[in-house]
Amino acid sequence: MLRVTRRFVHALVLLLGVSAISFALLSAAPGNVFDELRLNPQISPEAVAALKAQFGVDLPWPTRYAHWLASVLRGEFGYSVSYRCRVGTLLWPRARNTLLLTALATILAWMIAVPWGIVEALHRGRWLDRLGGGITAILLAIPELVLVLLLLWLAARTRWFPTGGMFSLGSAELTISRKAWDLAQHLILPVLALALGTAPFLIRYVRSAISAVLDAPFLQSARGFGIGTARIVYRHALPAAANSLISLLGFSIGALLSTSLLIEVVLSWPGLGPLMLEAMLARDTCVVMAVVMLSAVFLVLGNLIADLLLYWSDPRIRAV
Amino acid sequence: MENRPPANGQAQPPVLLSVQGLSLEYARRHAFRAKRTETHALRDVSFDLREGETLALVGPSGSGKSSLAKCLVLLETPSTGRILYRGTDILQLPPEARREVRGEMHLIFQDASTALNPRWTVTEIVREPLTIHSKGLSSAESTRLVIEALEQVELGANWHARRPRELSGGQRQRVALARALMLRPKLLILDEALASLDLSAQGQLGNLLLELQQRYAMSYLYVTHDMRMASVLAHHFAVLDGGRIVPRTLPTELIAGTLQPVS
Amino acid sequence: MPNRLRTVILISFLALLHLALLFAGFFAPYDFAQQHRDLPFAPPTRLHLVDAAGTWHAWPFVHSLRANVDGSDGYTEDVAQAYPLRLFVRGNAFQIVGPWTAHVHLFGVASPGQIFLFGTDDFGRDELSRMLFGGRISLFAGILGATAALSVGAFLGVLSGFYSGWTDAVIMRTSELFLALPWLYLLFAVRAILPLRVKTTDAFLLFIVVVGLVAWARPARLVRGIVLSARERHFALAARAMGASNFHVLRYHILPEIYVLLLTTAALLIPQFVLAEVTLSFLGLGVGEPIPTWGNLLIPMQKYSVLRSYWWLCLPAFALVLLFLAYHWASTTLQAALGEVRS
Repeated sequence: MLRVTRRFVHALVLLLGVSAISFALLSAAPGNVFDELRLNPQISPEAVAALKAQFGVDLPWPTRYAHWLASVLRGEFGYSVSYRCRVGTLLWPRARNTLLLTALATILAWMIAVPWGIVEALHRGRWLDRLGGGITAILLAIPELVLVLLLLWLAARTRWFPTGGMFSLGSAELTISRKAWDLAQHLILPVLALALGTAPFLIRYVRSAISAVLDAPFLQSARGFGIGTARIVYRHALPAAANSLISLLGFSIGALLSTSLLIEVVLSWPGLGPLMLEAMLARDTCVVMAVVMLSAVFLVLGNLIADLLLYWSDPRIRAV
Repeated sequence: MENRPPANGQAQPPVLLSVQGLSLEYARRHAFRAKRTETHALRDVSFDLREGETLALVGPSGSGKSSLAKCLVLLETPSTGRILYRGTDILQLPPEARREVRGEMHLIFQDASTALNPRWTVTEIVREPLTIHSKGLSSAESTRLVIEALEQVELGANWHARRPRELSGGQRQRVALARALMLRPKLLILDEALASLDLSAQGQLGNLLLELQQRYAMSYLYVTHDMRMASVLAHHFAVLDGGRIVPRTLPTELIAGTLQPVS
Repeated sequence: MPNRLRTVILISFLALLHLALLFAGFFAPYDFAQQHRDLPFAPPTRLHLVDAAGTWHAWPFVHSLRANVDGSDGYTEDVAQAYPLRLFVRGNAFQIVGPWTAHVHLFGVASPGQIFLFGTDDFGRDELSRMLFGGRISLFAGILGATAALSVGAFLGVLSGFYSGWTDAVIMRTSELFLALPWLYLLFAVRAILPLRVKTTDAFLLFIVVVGLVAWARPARLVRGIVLSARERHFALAARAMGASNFHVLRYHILPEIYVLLLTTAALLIPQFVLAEVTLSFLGLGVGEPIPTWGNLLIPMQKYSVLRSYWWLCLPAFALVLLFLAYHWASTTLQAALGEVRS
């Protein structure tokens, strides 16, 4: 229990540190949302000045950071000048969409990677392994950006599934089940791109983790007793490799979130990615800050969960 | 089994190294716990070593032998106690003087395969002490010294350009010995230096050590768990167990003769 | 030995790729900004050996292109005129390094003829030339970024591993802060701090260096691990016991262990930073028109018409994949070699 509390406190401190640094740097950045507003002829300089006073832009950053923290605790994450609403209300639907996308893609990627990795490990050095290894090597070398462009091309060419967005136009009038079907269709492309971008990395890892276990003396002797391959894999190898696979889950989250950002922007999936891009272009510091923090929260939480899973699955760690 | 007579006849040679009340603790701190766990590696260890003589420190593994060896060459800082080398406490010396002393005592590790940098050739390894103590020698001169040292340990010229991986265990230990000889040390600390070798290599190296001791009047601190080898090499012995020196009854064939326990 | 052969192939391929991009001006027949307004979206120029009359030629030649007379999109070759391919021709001046310029290009054709081996874009600019010049910026971004990340990472990692205690604690806790952000979010966050509209490529490369400075955390932790284990190796301890200074132990016993690690890490980091440049320029946050990079060359690939009719505009994507393959291959080869050395 002590360990869990400690990890939790550590994560919290980490997030506070990240937020303080990001806040300080972002407030030191040249140009802010008011400079962009000033360019707009419809807004008078007096109005801009009033807004500036209202938002306390000219206060020193520690004061503003304290205000910001208070606002985070209220779930508001500050106020977006360009969207004219609390950042929190902007953030939650976007965060939900990003989570939906990454969660589905993670499931799909693992569903591809685990069987594939096991098959490669069982056929080590033989043609099936070489073929699989070749495919993963090529997939690894294709940057996610190119991958998503290729899938976009495929979608445009075949018209099998929509090429962007989350819902079709006019989907608001549809029934719930129709709406879900529409959403599912829109999910295909981003989820596929994200899963294919992540899977080769996972496959390699699963292969080496399973191979390492298969080489362990206890499994060698189990094989010697004539225990079948399927039983070896599911009853012995997978549980033994579980630890390294759980840690893999932990540190693949960062890559997953990064890839997701890119894919969301290219496929205009209404997640955190496009929000961040728009906010950057509008110099809306509060929104940028909120998205950056949220990504850090996802990453740190993901690692925390992987850590707790590890703790739960491995009695040796619990004993420490 | 033959034991060695005192180094130079009847007159007691002067004390070279005197260890007094040495203790070493490894402390481990725990977060959120005020208590520290302390492991006592050494407790109140004292002994004297005279010039030209060999003291065997015998003890089972985990008795603190290696910790002691590391303390003596200042790789570990003991928590209490003094290490007197020719009468001065080396723990209190300023860095420059420490360097001087470190040139005069040399630690030889148990496993020469880890104690020699695998990237270097034998010549480069043996030359290292000269680089460290930047003796201001010409390269021809330092090469001569290196070859001389390698001759002392009977390692032929065709091995000089090899890397440690290509040598046998005994040869590696010879290289380590040659490296030690470069600075004409007064004291060699042999930390299980023969333990990882096979019997014949142990015998050869043991003889070599005896010969070198005669030639250069070196003192050896021979740290080992192997009483048989200790009885061949040592003038005196002490038993280390659980981090302290204990009076202990030894097998009769070992205490027969002149092997004298240290008080 | 097939292993050695593969290494030779890998090294020559990498060398060729880097030389071609470094001396883009020499290998490219045109300047990256040179427009041929009458030839937008021209397909790759075909090299012929057989002329209209059916006679074989020993040396390849090209025909010039004319827009289709029936008004449809596309071009037909004007077979009446043939322009033989020429090597080392004089053309536009280009910059080699700094103030040195040259006029000689690897290949080209005589004046009214045009050669677009990879076709042209919507302004009639030669795609091959744009790819070579663009690759130069992308690759430099990768190399500069990786160099920055590795130098800072190695420095702090050595500091942290060698002087344990509070130095170590401070550096490691700070590195955790940097690792708490997903890489692309970190990239965007740093980009958000800097002015939105970056003027020239120099400013952009400077930005990549800044990113490199931010990406020091992972190399630093790797280096620290190596230093921690190297520091306790017996040969390092032996040197210390002989009275060696910190500098000696570092220089002779610890740093050599790190060099190999830095090399393998570089093989992983360079593609990552190339991708950083590509991503930013693709999203309009990096280098913009008319200067090409592999990032903004990919922008047309978002258009369906391009994907459907002008396939040659997808070639930059393949160049990117090729670069990635080469670097991945290099990194696995290096790691395998490392494994052999270790055992």
